Amino acid sequence: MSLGWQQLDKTVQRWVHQQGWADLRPIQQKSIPPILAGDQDVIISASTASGKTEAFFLPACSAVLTNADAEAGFSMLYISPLKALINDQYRRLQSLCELAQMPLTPWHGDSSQAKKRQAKKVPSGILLITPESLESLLVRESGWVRQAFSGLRYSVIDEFHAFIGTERGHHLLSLLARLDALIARPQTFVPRVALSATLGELDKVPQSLRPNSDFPYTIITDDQSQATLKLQLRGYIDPVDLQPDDHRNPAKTQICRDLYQLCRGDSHLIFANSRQRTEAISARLSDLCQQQHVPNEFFPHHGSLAKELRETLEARLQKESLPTTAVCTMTLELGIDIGKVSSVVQVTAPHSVSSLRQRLGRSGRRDSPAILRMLITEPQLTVSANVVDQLRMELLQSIAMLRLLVANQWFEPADTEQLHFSTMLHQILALVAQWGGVRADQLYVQLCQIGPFQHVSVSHFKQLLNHMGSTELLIQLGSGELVLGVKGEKVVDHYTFYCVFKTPEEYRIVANGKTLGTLPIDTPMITGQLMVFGGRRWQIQEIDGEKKTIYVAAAKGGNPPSFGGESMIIHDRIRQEMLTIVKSGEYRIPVGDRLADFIDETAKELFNEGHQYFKAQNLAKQFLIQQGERVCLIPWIGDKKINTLVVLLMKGGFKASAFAGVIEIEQSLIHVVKRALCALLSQTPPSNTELAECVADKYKEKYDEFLPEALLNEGYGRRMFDIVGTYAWIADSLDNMG
Amino acid sequence: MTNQRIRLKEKDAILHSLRSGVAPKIGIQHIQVGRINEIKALDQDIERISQGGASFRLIIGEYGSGKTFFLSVIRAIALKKNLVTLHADLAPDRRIHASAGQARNLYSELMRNLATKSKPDGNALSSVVERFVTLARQEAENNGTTVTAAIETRLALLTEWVGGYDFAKVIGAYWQGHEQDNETLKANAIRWLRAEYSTKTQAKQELGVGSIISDTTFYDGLKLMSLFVRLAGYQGLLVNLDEMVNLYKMNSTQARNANYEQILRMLNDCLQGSAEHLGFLLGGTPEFLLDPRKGLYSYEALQSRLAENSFARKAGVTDYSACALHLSSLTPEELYILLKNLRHVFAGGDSGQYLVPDNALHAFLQHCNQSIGDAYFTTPRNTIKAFIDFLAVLAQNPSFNWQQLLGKTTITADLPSDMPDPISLQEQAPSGLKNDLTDFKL
Repeated sequence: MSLGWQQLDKTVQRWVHQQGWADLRPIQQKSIPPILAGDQDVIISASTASGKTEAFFLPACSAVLTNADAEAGFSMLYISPLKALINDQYRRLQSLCELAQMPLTPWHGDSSQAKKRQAKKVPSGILLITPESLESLLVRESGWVRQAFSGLRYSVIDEFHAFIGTERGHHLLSLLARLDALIARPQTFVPRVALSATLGELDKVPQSLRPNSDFPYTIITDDQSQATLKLQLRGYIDPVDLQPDDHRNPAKTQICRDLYQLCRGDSHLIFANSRQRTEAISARLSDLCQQQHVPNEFFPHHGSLAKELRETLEARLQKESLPTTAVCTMTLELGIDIGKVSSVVQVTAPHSVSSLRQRLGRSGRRDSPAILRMLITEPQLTVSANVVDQLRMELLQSIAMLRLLVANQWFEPADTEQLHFSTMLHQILALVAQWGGVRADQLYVQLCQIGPFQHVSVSHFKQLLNHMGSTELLIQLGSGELVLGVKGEKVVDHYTFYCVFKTPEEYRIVANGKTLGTLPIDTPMITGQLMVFGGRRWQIQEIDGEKKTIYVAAAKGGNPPSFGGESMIIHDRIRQEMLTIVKSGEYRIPVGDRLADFIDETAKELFNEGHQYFKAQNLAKQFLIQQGERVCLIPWIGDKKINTLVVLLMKGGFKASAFAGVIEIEQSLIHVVKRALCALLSQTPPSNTELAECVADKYKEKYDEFLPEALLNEGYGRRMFDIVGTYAWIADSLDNMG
Repeated sequence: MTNQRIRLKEKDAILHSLRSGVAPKIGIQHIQVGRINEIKALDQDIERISQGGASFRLIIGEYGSGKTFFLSVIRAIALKKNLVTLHADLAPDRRIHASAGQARNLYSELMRNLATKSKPDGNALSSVVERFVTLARQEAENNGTTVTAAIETRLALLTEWVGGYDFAKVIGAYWQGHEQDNETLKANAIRWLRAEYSTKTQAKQELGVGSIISDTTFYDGLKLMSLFVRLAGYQGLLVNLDEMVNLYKMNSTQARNANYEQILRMLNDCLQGSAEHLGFLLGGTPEFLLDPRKGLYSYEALQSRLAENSFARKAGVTDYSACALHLSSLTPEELYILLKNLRHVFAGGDSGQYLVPDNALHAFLQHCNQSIGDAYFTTPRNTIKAFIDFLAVLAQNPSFNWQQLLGKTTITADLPSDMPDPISLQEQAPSGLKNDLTDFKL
């Protein structure tokens, strides 16, 4: 056995032997000293299934066993973004914990009440929890938390990359800081351990794990090279003007047929981006199984499905005994250990390179290569086809993302520059609810100087508190303490308070007294309407608005309901890569001294169409095209700058809208647009905040509606716009055009 | 200022408690300043309680205006008049009504602080029970009955009240333990009376009673206690509940209203005459009473009962018989007298031993005014603390010149919060994390 092995506790060593492992993996060996020491933060960054979980728990359990204090409550706090991941880690850690006689408690909305009660009575060992459940404990039972965590040895965060820069990430960091403050051990801070997929900009990660601090840290990465990868991108042409006796098939049908061919008989994940598409595809695939008189192996998996249905599918994937294909949204993107899937299929362009990378990591575990197929549909071109279709933007974007991921190992860095006012407002309410009466200066220190809201100034903070006061979220006692106002009480008392991200009001869908799942209510629903849910077709019998329930009965045929969901902002780098590819006409990926082709004939055909159009329009030199009365602006820049350009143009009186990185300006002429851009440069640029003032609907995050207008604009502006970058682009482009 | 000597025990108690920012339990008469009318009104209340009446008062004052101090003064008077007193601060885990043990917690806290004339520091529950037993014995001797019978007769009165049957049984168990020299049984009985049993099963096993004092029987338990202390030969029971603002701070309207409903019960019982030998003093800030959204006034039945006497207001006088008694903050003049009193206490009551002359007191107050503004007299806690520290240094260093020392004395504003000040990892000095939000006003 390797170095560091001796330092592990005998019980832990015995467990490793029982697993039949020949040796610890490199990251597991490297993690032993810093985690055993327990005096520093540790970031373990490695790909999925590289043994990160054990890399933390083996030395951590050793440290706890060697220095056991049964009285001190929980010794480890494990936080995960997903309930399913908690259930999975629970199964994974059970044997180790049994051997070490260490209680292991999964704690989230759906976990066993009996186990929670037991842990409540005698808190000890390892607690596996979601940020939301931890929030609920802090607000409702902080007295118990203080005792139960007084002897905490480690906080460990799984899937840390999924938290960085997000609302939940800020929530999580604030929770950890509040927990530190509650258990108040100034001399011995609880070391934080982050388990993460490979991360870009590793040097910035410690700041994301413990803001504004010089606490020592160690970063452990997996040096082993990536496993082999097989890629294919398949193009589909969606025919127009389909006749009833047409021999052509709609792209959906072609895709489902291919999926059936590709996936039947083995286990796969099909990522279909939207819940609606997920439902549609899985319904069609199970129909195909029925037609062929074979057992169904295709199941949908998304956040709106009932827990039982999701868990049945996860369990089926885990068992690996039956071929199973999950058609899923990002619910299966994060590291639930669903075992080995043979391949991953991405239908339609991915949201981002980093999400694509996550999905790819699901395939090819252990010794087989990772297989990724991407199925991209482009419409058949007509005379009136618009620029986006002519350029084959979706295909181009998909190719660019694949190239960035595979050839450049690039993915979007986390956006850590945001202000997160919505989440901060949530944390102000939570802190006040937790303690009772708190002073403004303490709130600021706790949240913005120790906690994660580092970009928030005192002046921001005052504006927010004043607004919260005038809207009765907070009131101030004569002693200066801030307490919850009448409105604040209502917000905190609501069962959805504990999570910081938006959950739309959802309807329960019930068939024969059995709940199938839930559906957001912003979907229009009419009695008698047909719908697809849980992979089957239903007819709506009754809608109960008060109980938020839709009663359905099994039916044949029908259209799937439209689910909510928004796509992510496309990064500058992706659009640049798209430009490079379409300009050169070379999409292949250099591997060693040859170029690897990875797209099928149809895709090639589509790509060439785009390339030809690019050349024909002289888009290498031109970024404006006149199409009848419409001017198309094709800047090849990221969506932040696109948004900025659109608002700038609209402020200038143009009718502008953007789609897939192309801005369409109605009823205008090239030279008018050009003149307007020139004119912009001669003026002082507006700030991002001023741009936000022009936008009507700015509620993006859960508590945005409670923010004062000025902060809402500032937060929104910073998130959606990039005025400096846009001005630089305008200057550059006008220069190039002469 | 009288030249009456002050006992060393009292002097120490006064100085130690004031230095740690709390009201002293003994010797309070030496430092009490002003509020003559309020004290007189409550003195009459206590008189009424000892004569079989009841009283319910809200002591309302801003943060730092000396509510707790005032409650202690009244408590001292009650003890002197042979009442039993209970006192406790409300807190997030100590409430009047609750479902997760918080009301039981408050009850336990009250019982731990149970005080009598001979045990003014609290922890007097067992001596009250002991005294009851002694009285029963005497009665048995006089009447020629058994002690058990005497106890039963005396406790018969209790059994008519909610929970009284089991209460009587527990006292019976105490006597049994007494007789059989069973210390465990006695301790269990006291534990039961202190509401330290959390399950009925355990109470059944150890004491043979089927009920416990729980969240739901908080007020009934106090009523029984008020009867019981009478049977033990005391004049009545005074219950002081402080920091009522904690109810105001509760996050759930429903839970808060449930607490207000209990307050209404107490108030009704006391004012309508169904309670005997029982008094309640509730200390809270103005918002706790007056806020129409979250305060007692948000509970309609309470608002109508607690409304200000409009005749008195129109006449520009204070109605000292009103349920809600508003304490104004100390005036600078009163604070000056308080400092004089403290100097007097420090000198053990001997004016020859005064450490500083009168003009030093003026200078001290002025110094405080410059440092923290009006807060020096509106929330005088830190002023008082600093003054005692100031005297202490002078006492230990007779060579020091008070003027120079005063220049070096720092005084900080009293900034209350339920949350401890956050500690930063970098061990930055607290000032490193200062921001100009300290005086933030909405």
